[in-house]
Formats: sequence, C-alpha cells, structure tokens
Amino acid sequence: MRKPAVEIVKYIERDISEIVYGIEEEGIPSEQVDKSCVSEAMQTYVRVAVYVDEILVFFDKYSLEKPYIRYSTGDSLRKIGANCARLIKGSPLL
Amino acid sequence: MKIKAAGIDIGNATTEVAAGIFEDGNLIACESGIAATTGLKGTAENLEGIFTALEEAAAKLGMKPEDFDELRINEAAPVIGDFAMETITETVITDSTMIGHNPDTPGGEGLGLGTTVRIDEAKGKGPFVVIADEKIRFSKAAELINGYMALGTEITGAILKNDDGVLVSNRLDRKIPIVDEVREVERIPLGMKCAVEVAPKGKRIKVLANPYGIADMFDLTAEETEASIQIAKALIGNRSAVVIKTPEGNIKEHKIPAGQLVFVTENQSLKTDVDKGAAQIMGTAEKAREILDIQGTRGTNVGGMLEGIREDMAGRVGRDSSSIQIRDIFAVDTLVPKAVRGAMASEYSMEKAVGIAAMVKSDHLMMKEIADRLEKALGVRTIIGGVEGIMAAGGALTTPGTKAPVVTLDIGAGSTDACYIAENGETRIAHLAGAGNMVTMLIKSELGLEGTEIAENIKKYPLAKVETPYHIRHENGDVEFFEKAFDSSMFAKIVLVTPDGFVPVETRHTLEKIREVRINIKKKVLTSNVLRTLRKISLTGNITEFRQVILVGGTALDFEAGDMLTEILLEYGIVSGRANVRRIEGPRNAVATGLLLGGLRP
Repeated sequence: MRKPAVEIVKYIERDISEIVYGIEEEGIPSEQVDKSCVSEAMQTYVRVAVYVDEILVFFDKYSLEKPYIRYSTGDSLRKIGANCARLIKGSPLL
Repeated sequence: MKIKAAGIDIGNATTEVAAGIFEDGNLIACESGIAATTGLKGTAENLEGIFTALEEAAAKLGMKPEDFDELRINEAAPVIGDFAMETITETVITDSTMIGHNPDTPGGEGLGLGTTVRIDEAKGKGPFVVIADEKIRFSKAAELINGYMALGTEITGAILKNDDGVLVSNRLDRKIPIVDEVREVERIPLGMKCAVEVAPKGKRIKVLANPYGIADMFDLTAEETEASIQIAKALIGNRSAVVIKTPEGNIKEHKIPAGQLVFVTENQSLKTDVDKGAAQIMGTAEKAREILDIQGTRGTNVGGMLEGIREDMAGRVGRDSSSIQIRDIFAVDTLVPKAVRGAMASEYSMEKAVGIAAMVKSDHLMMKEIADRLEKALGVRTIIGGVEGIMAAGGALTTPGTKAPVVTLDIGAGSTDACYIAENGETRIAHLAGAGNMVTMLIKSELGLEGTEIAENIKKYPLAKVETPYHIRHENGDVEFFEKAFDSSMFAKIVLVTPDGFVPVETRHTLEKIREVRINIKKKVLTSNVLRTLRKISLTGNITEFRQVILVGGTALDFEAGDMLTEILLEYGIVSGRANVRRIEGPRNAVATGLLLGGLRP
C-alpha cells in the first residue's frame, strides 16, 4: 500500500517540526522517513528533502528526479509545509 | 480614370481605415488598416492614430498617405462615455458584533455559545469562548483549553489570531469549534455572549446564517431578529463564523441617499430616484423619448459622473459646461462587495448598487477640425462622410447573404448604434450609451477586482485551471496537456487563456464563480441594451418587426457575446449573425468600408 501524503526526509540534523505543523494545519497526513529508506520510485505524492542549504520539494505529478520547488533555508518552514499539503489538495501555493 | 480614396473610422477604442482604388466607379483594390485610437474619440489627438492606420492601409496598396485623392472621415458624434456606480445599501455594525470570514482551515466543528474571555483568564464554570492573540502558540492554547476542561470549566469555542485552528483542534481532548485567522482579535469585547459555528468540510454554516438561528442563540425579540438579517446575510455561504452580542451592539442596513436623475425633454422634466433601481430609471428614460439633457443630484457618484463628462467635453470644445447636453444613459442593477463597517476580519457584504453609463455628443465642429488638420497635414481633400450608423450599415451589407431590409447593430466599447435600412433605402438610426466598457466595469465591481485591466481580460478571454504541472482544464471541461511543466507559482491557479499565453488571475473566487459573473453581466448588459436600441428604431415599438440583424463592432468579436446575441434575438424570431465585411474583415472595418463605398448602396 502506498502512503497517501507527504514524506519528509532529513539529510541533516535540524528541527523541522514547523514543516510538519504546516502540513497538519492543511489537514494532510505526513511522515518523517529515514534517508536510508528512500526509494527511487516515489512512494508518496510529495517528498520534502531537507539539506544544509536548501529544502527541495518533489512532486510525483511533476518528476521523480527533479524537484518541483526549491526553497532556501531562510524560507518559512510553516509555509513550506502548507505548500506541500496544497500540492496534494490542488490549491494555489502560498 | 482612377480615384484613390480611404474611409477612416475613429472609434472609441480603435481607428480603422478602408483604402481603395476605384476605376470608372468600380472598386478594383481594397486594403484595411487598424490602430489604437489616440486620445479621446473626436478630438485633435486622434490624428496620430489616423496616420498609423492610414499608412498601414496605403502601404498595402503600394502608396503613401499623401497619395490619396480623397479621405472620408465619419461624422462621428464624438462620444464621451463614462460609468459610475451608486451603492444603494451598506451594512453598518455599530459596535463589534460579528466575525464572518472564511479562513481556509478552521478547526473542529459544531456550534458553541459562551462568554468571551482571554484564553489565559478563564476562571469559573463557564461556558466560555476563549480568545487567543498571536503570542499564544497552538500547543499552549491546546494545553490551556485541555486544562480548563479537566477542571470542569466549560469551553464551548475558540477564536484565534494565528492560522492554527486545525493544530489546536488536533490536540484537544474534546472537540470544539475554532475560528482562526481573525486579524483584529484585540477588538473582540470581553465578557460578552458569543456564538461560534464551524461547519463540517464541504458544508456551510446553518445557524448563524439564519436570523431565527441567531434569535434562538441570543434570545432576541422579534424586532431584534429582524435587524439580525443583516448579520445572517453577511454570513451566508461561510464555513465558519462568530457572532457576539454586546448590550449596545447594533447592526443595520443603511440606505444611502443615491440622489435623483432628471430627464429634461422639450416640454417636461421627468424625475426618478436612483435607488429605485435600473428598471425604473430605464422606464423613465424610455418614457421621456427625445431627451434633451440629463442631470443628476450634486454630491452623489452619478451626479459627479454626469458633471465630469459635461466638463470634460466642455474643456475639449472650449465651451461652457452648461451648454453641453447629456443625451442618453443606460442603467444596470448590480451587487458589489463592500467592506462591512465595524467588522473585525475584513468581512464584506454584497450590497445593492446601480451602474450607470452616460454619453454626451458634441457638435460637428470638432470633426470639422480634425478634417481640416488632416487635409492640411497631407494635402489631401478630406470630407466628413456621413452618419456613423448608416456608414456601418453600408459596410455590413458587403457581408455575403445580406440585403435590405436589415438592421446593423454596432456594439462598440462606449456606445451601441443601430441602423435600420428599409427596402427603399430609407434609414432609421439610434445611438445609445452602454456597451463593452460597461461590461468591464461591472465585472470589476461584482468580483471586487483591483484593476480595470484584469476585468477587461476576464471579459475577453476564456478561463482555465492549472490542475497539475503538466495539464490544464479549460472552462468547458476540455483537458490540455503540455510538454513543458508549469512553474509552481502557476500551480492550481485560475488562468486566462490569452493569445500571449496563460495569465493567472489572482483571486479567491472559484473559476465557476468568475465564469458565472462574466456570462451574467454580458447577458444582462447586452440583452437590455440591444432590445432598447431596437425598440428605439422600430416604428411600432415591437421589435418583432425586424427580420435580420447584422452584428458589427468590437463586441461582435467577443468570444461569446456574438453567440449570446444570436440566441437572445432568436427568441424574438430575428435572425442575426456576425458580419463578414468585404468577405475578409469579419465584423471589423464596417464603418470605414461604408465610408469608402460612399455610404449606402442598397
């Protein structure tokens, strides 16, 4: 069974709970997964990859290889979370 | 012998040229030119646009503008049209009594009644509706509410400033309705009776959008219940709402004095109140028949608009504004979103309004001046070629399959013209206010848009929605896929399908809503204005006497208005369709062609 929703992968140690809250406020389930469990084929609709200097959002309807949105570390984590949920909901991004 | 001539039509929006070469009276070559009208129609500023269009047409014939033997310009009644909106009602809340906005994601669901209290100060039995400002994090808010509930304090609802409704709700032991994103949460009076309602997803609130529901919540008297319709009205369709009753709190629909319109005719003055609505205004206008002038009450929007165009025209012709007459107006009822005075989350209420377009004709002196200047600049004889409506008919009749008796209907940007040509060549014409620009203004006001340009584009282009990075769904349901993905800034946006690509519409309205408003406004304006224009040129006052109507002008080019008109007129048994001037121009260039051909040749 494929998980409906957003998968968050941390490639660095960082508190990203605000991303999770952003997704939750939009009413979409999310899950943090370990980077060793990430498969090449997307198992979820949206995958958020958190790196040192940027946060990449992969969207299965766009591409499995290329990120659909690139955020810098300065962007609001809550907004990033909300936008991940909005990709799934089909709502315009914030 | 050869004669090289050109017809020049200066319209409100475009200047069109039909240039031709006659040999022994027969047209042997003909080309068109088009340019945006420079300056206001009927003023010397038009010359620049005329030159541009003339050069284009001349070049296609291998000529220069100076090479013509004769230029014919339309005896345009230069028209200054303008549009004003008079709001007739407004909702005033004297003291804060309601919050009725639609946050994207309110929390919980249900209906709660309690006394307003700051979230960190709820003491006693309750029931309370707790209020949290932006300093209270969702985790803290949930902890406080859970704590109160554990101690036996009844908490029935919450109002938050942050966009945290779902986050708080997910952390509560017992679900309560939560309204979030209330910007002016500080203004909520404390210690007052308050009702909070959140509808389930996909539903709308039931109790607070119903005056009897509000009455039941707050034990209102029959009189108070009647007044509460204004609250209910502003909340209809919302997914969440708050109503607070303060002792001195009051809410009422206020009628704004919108002033009067006075129609001056040869032997009488007919008055009508603007706030009686469009039907009464237009009824009075038709009763007045030959209108000499129209005046509006000073200090009102409509009065100001009428004075404005009078002064505008006076300034251009260098005359006293009291000598400028307004000959026609066209009024339409509409609803406009207006901010509710005294509201706390920028709520708006749909208020009744009347949109009025007016038109003033100036004299021929102005056209004479343009003709003289043109003649001087080019050294080519320039004449004023005839009445616009009749010229349009002359051009329209070059459409294959047309012959008199027929009506030519020219719906432009500023005015609607009709010309009836009988079999014997006799003509009857009408030149009335209200056309494409009015549709634009109504779209702007009914959708509460910021700019005129976006309203104009909504009028002109069909809608679509970007559904995934690779496909859009057009408003008719068709799906279109693309090789190249849309940028994430376009994701899920409503877009206009324009010749230059997809242009996003920044709005909270749904695609369906925008489409509905656009279609309704076009139908409303076109139907009532076309029918009154036809009545004006009919001998019997019954438009079924007409058999055929040829549509020309900008509105005939609209992607749906032409078809709408065909449908509307078919109800009266009238056959109508878009012109195809000279078999190639479509509904464009009719007046210019009519001028070139020297008017009517039935």
